[in-house]
Amino acid sequence: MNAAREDDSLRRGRAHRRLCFLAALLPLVLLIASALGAVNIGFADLRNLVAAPAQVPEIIRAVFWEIRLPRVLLAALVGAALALAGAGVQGLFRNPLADPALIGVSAGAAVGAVVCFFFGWEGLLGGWLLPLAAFLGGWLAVLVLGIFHAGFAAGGTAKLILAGVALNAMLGSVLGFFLFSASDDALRSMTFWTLGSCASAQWPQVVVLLVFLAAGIILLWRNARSLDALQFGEEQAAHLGVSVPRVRREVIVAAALLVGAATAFAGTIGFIGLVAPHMARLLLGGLHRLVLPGALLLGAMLLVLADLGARTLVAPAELAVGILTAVIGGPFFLALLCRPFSAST
Amino acid sequence: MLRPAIILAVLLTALTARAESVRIVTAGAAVTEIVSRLGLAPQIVAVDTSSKYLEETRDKPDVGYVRMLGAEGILSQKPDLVLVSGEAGPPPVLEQIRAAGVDVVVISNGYTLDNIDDKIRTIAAAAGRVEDGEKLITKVNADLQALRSATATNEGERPGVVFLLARHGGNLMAAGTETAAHAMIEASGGRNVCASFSGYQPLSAEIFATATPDFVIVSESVGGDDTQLLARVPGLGATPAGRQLRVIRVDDAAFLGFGPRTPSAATEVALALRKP
Repeated sequence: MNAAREDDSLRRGRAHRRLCFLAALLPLVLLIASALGAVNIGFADLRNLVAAPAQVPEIIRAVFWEIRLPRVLLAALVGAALALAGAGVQGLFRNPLADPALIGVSAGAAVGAVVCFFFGWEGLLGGWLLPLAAFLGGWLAVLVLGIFHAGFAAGGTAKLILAGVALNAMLGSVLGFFLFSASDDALRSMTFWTLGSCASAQWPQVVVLLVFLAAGIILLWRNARSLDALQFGEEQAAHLGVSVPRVRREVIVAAALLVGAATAFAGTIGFIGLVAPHMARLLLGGLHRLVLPGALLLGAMLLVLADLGARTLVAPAELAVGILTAVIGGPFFLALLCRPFSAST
Repeated sequence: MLRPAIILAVLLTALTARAESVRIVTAGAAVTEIVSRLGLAPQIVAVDTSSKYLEETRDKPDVGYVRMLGAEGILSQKPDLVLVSGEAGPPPVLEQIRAAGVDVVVISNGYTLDNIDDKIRTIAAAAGRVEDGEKLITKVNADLQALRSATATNEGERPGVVFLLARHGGNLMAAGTETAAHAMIEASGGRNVCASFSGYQPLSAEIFATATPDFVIVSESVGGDDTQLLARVPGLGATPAGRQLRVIRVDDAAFLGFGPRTPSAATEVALALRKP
């Protein structure tokens, strides 16, 4: 008994150390991504940008402050948001494969955002209407999935994914219809909405995303222990004193907020919400108080690195970032399919 | 004593010449073509993917698809001037390039032959080649005059025309209204038989039950001879165009680009449409 407790605290200590390591790694990744790009900035100029701005050519200053830094930060925030949403949805549905993009939440958010663009409303409410519309779209998509989930509560992992496939197909056609009927100026290209891009990053978006991310973090954090209890099943969680409907409501709103804001500014980016939470669980164990911050940090780093690839691999042209996340995420997803599902929950 | 002075003078002239040579990035095929026609091809440092077909710009760095440009990629080519067509974007990226202190000039599109001179004038003014611009405009106006006389003698009913666009995977699409092809069919003295829909639509045999084209216009880059082409489209063989193998091949960059070569491309088609 004593030995088991000691073992447990040992394991927890190791998880905390690893979390600290991830937290220290993120600034390093941000620094590297800020230094590299199509325009050569380098670490010396990077130091001077802060220490002695006058010594840096004006063009470099403009590129760094107006283009690269907002883009790196946007990528980090979008990655964090998608990873957190993935961790939350996977916990809620008790399904290790529930990636917001795979099960149609991102597509719902994209439809919300595209409708907003379609009617020319993207600038309303000081630019806040766009992420709110995407939030609504994503929220409706999760609600629809929730209807199916109640029907196969006894752990039908495959069914959720299949419902997601159907939802994705339907929302994809709605998306296609709006993009088809819109004039070219009203909307950016289909590639943006299906494969994502951080290329249009601007400071106001970074601020808006930060607010949405904070709201998502608060909602998920206060439900972290309830999500742990939920892993034993809804009935057991209720016996443990968890108000299951409330947890469900709050986690769904959190996921929709996170995916909505991310999708409104960066399009549909797949697999971050799948890969980051899984890596977090492998490194830190299954407790949500560890998985959530771990997924946040890993998601941020993954997308910053993927975006770094998107803007440097074929420079001076750009790749859609979704191509790169799928290259990493696709094989990862297949590997997960090969494992017995019970092992990862 | 004299030699260093001469070297210095030579160096200085070389330097000022360098400073005068403006570095240009272009996006949009017609824009790139006009810039080359103004004799500025050596100063183009990068182009978008759609401009790669031009001989002069084939080997220039590629800044990507015209609608998905990247600000940093373009700025990394150290341009002094960025000339883009109306569809270039995303809009925030153009703003970012402007914010970095580089001139961005957007040359608006439009499926009409009437504003090619405006496009040339805008580009010539931005690049400081007003005189060359006027020369090119004179040539374009002469071509437009030739087109007018080629279509003026088309009397009676205009021949029915269908324009087929080859999409990736070999699928052929027909051009409806609100397309460059539609505007060009009209400008060449033809009548678009697919005016019942807008945009490019996949072909179905039913289109040709009501629309009977006398001519088929297709890009010269589409493979196969005329018989093979007509066989690929169900229903087309039974139309007048199909029975008599009346297929007109065009250079689609010139025919659909609304650039300096477009009027003469239209004239060629207009002359072909007059053949019985």
